[in-house]
Amino acid sequence: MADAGESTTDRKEKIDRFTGDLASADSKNEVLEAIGNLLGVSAPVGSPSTLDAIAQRYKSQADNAADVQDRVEKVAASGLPSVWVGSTGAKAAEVVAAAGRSAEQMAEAFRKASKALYDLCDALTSAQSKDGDGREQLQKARTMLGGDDGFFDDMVETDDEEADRKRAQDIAGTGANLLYAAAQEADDAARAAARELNKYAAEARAGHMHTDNISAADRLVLADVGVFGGPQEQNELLTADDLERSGRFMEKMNAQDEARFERMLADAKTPQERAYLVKALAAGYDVDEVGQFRDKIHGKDPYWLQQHLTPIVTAGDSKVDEGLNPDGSNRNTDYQWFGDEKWSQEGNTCVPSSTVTARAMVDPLYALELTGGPSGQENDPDAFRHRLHDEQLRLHEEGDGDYLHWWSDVPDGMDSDGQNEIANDEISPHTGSKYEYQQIRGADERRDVLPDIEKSVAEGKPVPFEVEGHDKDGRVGHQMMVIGQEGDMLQIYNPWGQTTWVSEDDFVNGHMDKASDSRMPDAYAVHLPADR
Amino acid sequence: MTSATLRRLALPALSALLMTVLAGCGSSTGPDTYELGEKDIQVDEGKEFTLSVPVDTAMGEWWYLTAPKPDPDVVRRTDKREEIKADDDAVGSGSGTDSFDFKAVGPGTTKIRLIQCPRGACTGGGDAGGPVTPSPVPSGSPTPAKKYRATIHTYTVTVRKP
Repeated sequence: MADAGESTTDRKEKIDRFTGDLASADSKNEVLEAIGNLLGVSAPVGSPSTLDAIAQRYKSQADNAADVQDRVEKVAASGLPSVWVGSTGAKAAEVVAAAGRSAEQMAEAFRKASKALYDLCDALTSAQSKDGDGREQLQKARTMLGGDDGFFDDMVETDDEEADRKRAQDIAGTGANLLYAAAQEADDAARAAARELNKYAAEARAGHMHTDNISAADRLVLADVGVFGGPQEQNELLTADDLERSGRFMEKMNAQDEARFERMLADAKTPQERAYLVKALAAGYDVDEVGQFRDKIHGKDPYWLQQHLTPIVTAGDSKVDEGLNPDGSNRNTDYQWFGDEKWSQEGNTCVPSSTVTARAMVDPLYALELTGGPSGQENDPDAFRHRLHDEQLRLHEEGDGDYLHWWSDVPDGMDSDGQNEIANDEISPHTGSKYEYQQIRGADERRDVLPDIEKSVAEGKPVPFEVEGHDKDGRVGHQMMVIGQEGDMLQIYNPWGQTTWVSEDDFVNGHMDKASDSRMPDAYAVHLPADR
Repeated sequence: MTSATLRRLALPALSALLMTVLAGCGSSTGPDTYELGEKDIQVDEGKEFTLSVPVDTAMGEWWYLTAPKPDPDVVRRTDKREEIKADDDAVGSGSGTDSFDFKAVGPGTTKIRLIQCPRGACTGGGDAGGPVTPSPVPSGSPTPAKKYRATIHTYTVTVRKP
């Protein structure tokens, strides 16, 4: 019986396997069995008419949002009294600018979501039609062959029977190919739609912050704050996960803590300072700890805040294709610096090093400890490098990493248990998601895991993964992290101290050398954040 | 002092001694191999020789032959090989050795330049074309620390008539 719940990849695998059985069948009963199995695979599921209706609704919402944007921009142009402030200190101009950008993003999100749904609707209609044609061919072949041969009939096949069987086999083969093409089309379309819709869901950022403790205007401004040094839309300071978690934590505060936290937000000198306080809360710190953090960062300018609290900044031109280096890596690569020191590994510590950077991305108190030292006020790249290396070694120990020899103290890699353990010990407490290790050695497995990766990074949860390469001497491996996603591109942090973009096809088809080098092109394992 | 500490001290000394004894001597069957510290090389015409350099593969380091290229009437490059030793079960393990193979084709003296490229320190080659050279420092930026800069290692090779 057809199973409507089977995944699109399972469906393709089954069709592929049964098509092979059909091609190699050399008796009538084997052909009939293969045809039966093929007809048992479920057709592409989904209702094009429902998708069409939703797509139309989204399109009309996009028009409404564009109208809101228009009106907000008129307000911005006519000006507002500068004395007006939100409850936590956001100025009127900030609120209006944030509202304008939010309406613009909303209109674009609805428009693109509508297009994604129309595309899915078209692809599903086409896939279901192809699938129907394929099933007709299979039924036709089955009718030509008639019922199963009995035990003795099956032992002998005359020339005429063989010719009939082969003719039916050909027709069934055409049908099987149509079934596969339909499954492929539905698979590709569903994946593309999921990718787009996950992204727009995460981008409706202000809506993730469910709390009445701060006003809608303040929430809008917080969601709109960008990290200094790059385009705002690619460097949002608060991730969707930050906004959701901070809102939740604010709801749980007692009245005294709530008043203290609101005071800190209201006194913040810049929107960035305010947003980093919210990020600290989202990372799981209590109001006392956030208060101590606030004392260290209060009044610092946006550049200082970025340097000390945000390890990775995305440059506006970072997605431009500039070709490849001779080692197979992207020429367009950005190096991530604190002063003249990179956020990079020292020695064979790629796993602890990418974990340290991942934690620093989601936990601003931890980032400040590394960059600013115990006082939080230092600005010394050499001291930062020293602390960074000590922390890489601490995590190497924590994950029971290997050493060069049994008597050596020089790190030399880490196994998969250690990798997952330190991700769970260091990153999870600050994002709320445990990591689960998953091998992805085949192209289909890599393709299947992409929607989960996309959803995680759109929410602001880094996804560590491993790459490898083989040569005549054996295997070498490396860990990197997916930290961003846009369209069909993934942003990769490499603990060599760099970020770059690769396509999802690169990830699936063994071209991760673009983010590392030609020694290690194949992604083979991933640590996926799972909701607690 | 424990025996483990003793061994830690003794083994590098022993391996350094072996390296000194073996470096440059080659073997009776293969080409002569020169390590990183051996920059003045004398070789007979018609002989093959190898420049061997350590490469920090786990950090994404690469080595290339760079410009100006050696005089083709004196030496000709024949191959570049890389051997990586890593623990198959661990991620991030290993280090490598690059071997640049040459043949002494005619008498004379020339220079071979190898460029050592820590991650991001070099430009050129690949889709950009041309030789691999040190990345320029953008104007107004401070010079990067030495560990982030490319190093060019120059070998002087004299080819003698046998």
